[in-house]
Amino acid sequence: MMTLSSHSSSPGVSRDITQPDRREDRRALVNVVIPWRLVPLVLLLTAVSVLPAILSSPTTQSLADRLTPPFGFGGTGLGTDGLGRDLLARIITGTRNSLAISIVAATGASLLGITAGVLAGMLGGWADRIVELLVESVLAIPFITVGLMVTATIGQSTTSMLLLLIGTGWITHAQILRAQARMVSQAEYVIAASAMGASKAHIARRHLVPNLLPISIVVYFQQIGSMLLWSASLTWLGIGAPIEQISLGGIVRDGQDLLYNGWWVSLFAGLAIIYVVTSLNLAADWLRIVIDPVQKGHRPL
Amino acid sequence: MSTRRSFVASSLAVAAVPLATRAQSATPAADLLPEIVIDLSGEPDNLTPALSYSTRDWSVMHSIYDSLVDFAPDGQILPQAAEVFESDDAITFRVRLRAGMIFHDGSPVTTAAITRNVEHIKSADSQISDLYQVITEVRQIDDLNAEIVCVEPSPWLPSQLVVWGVLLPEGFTDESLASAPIGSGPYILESWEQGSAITLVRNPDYHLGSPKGDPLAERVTYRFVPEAATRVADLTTGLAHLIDAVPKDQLGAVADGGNVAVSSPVLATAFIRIATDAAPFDEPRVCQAVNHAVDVQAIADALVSTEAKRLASVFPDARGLGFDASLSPFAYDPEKAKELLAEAGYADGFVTEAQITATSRTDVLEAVAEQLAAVGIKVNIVTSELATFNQDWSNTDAPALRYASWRPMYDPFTFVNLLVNSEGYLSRYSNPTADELIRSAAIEPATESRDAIYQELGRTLQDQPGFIYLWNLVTNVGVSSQIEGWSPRGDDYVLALRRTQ
Repeated sequence: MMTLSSHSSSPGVSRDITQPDRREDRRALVNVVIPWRLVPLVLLLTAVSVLPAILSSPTTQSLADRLTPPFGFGGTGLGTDGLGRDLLARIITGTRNSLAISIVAATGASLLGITAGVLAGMLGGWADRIVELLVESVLAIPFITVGLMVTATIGQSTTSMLLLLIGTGWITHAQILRAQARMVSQAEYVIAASAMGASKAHIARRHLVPNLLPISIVVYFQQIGSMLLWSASLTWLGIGAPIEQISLGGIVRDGQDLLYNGWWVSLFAGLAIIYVVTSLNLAADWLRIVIDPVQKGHRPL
Repeated sequence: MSTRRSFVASSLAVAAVPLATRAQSATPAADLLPEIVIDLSGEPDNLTPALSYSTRDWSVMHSIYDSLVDFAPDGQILPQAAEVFESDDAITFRVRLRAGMIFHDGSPVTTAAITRNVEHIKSADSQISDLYQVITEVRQIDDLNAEIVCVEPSPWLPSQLVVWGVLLPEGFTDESLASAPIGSGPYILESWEQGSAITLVRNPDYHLGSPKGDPLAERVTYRFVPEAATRVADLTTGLAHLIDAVPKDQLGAVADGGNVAVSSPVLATAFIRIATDAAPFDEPRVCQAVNHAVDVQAIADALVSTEAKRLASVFPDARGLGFDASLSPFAYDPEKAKELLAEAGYADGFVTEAQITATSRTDVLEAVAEQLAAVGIKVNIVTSELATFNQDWSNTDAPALRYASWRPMYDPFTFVNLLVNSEGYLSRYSNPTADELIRSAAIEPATESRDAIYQELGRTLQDQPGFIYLWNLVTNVGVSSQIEGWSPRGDDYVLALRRTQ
């Protein structure tokens, strides 16, 4: 019988998942009813949708007010940046823009990765070999080098950054989905269904999709966070989002030369990145617990 | 012509400074440091003289080589490896080399070194080869005396020789120039670790008393540190002794670390070049409008330096030719800008693009863009790698605006010929009056007359601007408290030399 190490048991300790565990049942229930892991993300989404209407414009400059310190250090709010722009407004808008880019990138990467992974896992043979070759090629070339090449050839733009993020991010999905699809398509009940004359489409609809969907969604959510980190890194390096597009990585970069007399610019933008990524990861965690049948009701696949 | 000639004697007979009055001793000064480290914001792209175009190239190149002439702090041209450098007509330049100079390989410096330089530059695939084509001959009279003969009056040539007229040894090859240069300058190349550092050792045979200065240390390491905050940290922790390009906002950090931040105006001009070969900037009123729309002095004070002053045209200060103190810069007047735009048929403004290198001051361009937006001109900022940026100077598909700076501007000849002249290699500007002035200044032997012609060009460039005129550059160098007597140069080379005069 297949055993899986469950989320809340000690690492490395496996148990027979066919035997229910009442303690874990209770924990799972608590997680579903009171999803505290969602609170940071909900706060974040509320902030980025409500605050821009209230705050001053994130692009309005005022050279006379440049580098006003934050509240508590003789100024207000989170202070201003080197061009006198309101830092709180910039961080909120930057978060929204960075989130949007990450979501688009993660969506693109998921669609591409899931298709490639499922095809490789289900069909095997040449399809599998091609996908494997592509995955290994992407893994072999350093991400930043590719970034520099993409920027040098097609210029610095949101599109080139998205291409880069999707072009390298899809392999996460492809690797996981390939393994899962292969496992499912070799499971006894699938072989049995096939032996009874079920079509490939039927198997895909009845067996593959229900089995692969939960993990895809979880990986997708986790990837939004990592896409945000990558896009911030690229922008910080000057090969990501263009200057005029406010982004968290861009604000960190803006503040880098101001660390001596404007430490708050990079610091708060950096903290915002940590907060956003953490809240996305917590939400992904919650989602995993809720939709993973193993963790939810301990019913075997 | 007679008035012209009368200027010649006073202006072009460059002082033949008697070197016997200077200390000729090769004994090192008592306060020579064992080693100093200089943090540069970038690595030299090239040490081959003909292919060196940037301050970081020149900082290392002029540590290794000596030129015939150098700029004095006031912008005068002084003999350097030459003992005498003079001309009556700006056609024939008489040179007498200092006696007893030797190259790092021990071979003597003779007038053949001048010929080798001229041949090297003329034959190289270089942006400056064209400038040297004016030289028809280097007449070697003897080992120390020579004449550089030009096809026509070339009063601008000495200022080019300061930068590129370095003495080259016998038997150099393209490879040796690029990776193992041998000069007659104050330092000898010891090693170049690509991407990290260039190490030089003091040339024990260097003639102390050169106007360039005396060596500060036995060994000098140039390191390449792109991050300003890291350079400041290096200075504070004692890892570096001289650091270049300290941003205004970090000057305080330098002082807090117990070191000295030296701010000094460089003879260089910052500008936003306007491509006037296409709409909407083919209309001079639009170009005037953008100059009125930007509060240049406020941006300079906030972001660059309080010593950076708004310029009336491209000429940065009185040390160089063409500067006219009586010519007022454009007034910051957004209303006037809107009126001019409306007169030119752009009452609703327009959308344009501005190009900048990724490592440049993007905040400056953002501030300019914000102020242009206030008069209805939406500017999209395009960042490019340096190589792409440099290829795009005359590319008609490239953005109409580009933020750049130019140095040195002791003699504006190169700048105006390349960027303002309608035939210029980097130009997207066309104005017959300007072309005529540029041509006449190029062959006018008398310095005062040239100055007047360039001032006239400055007025022409205000009526029909080809630039948003910004400010004179200011260099901010962090200097360790261990170093005494170092002063910045007007051309912004960071040399480990202490000027003696």
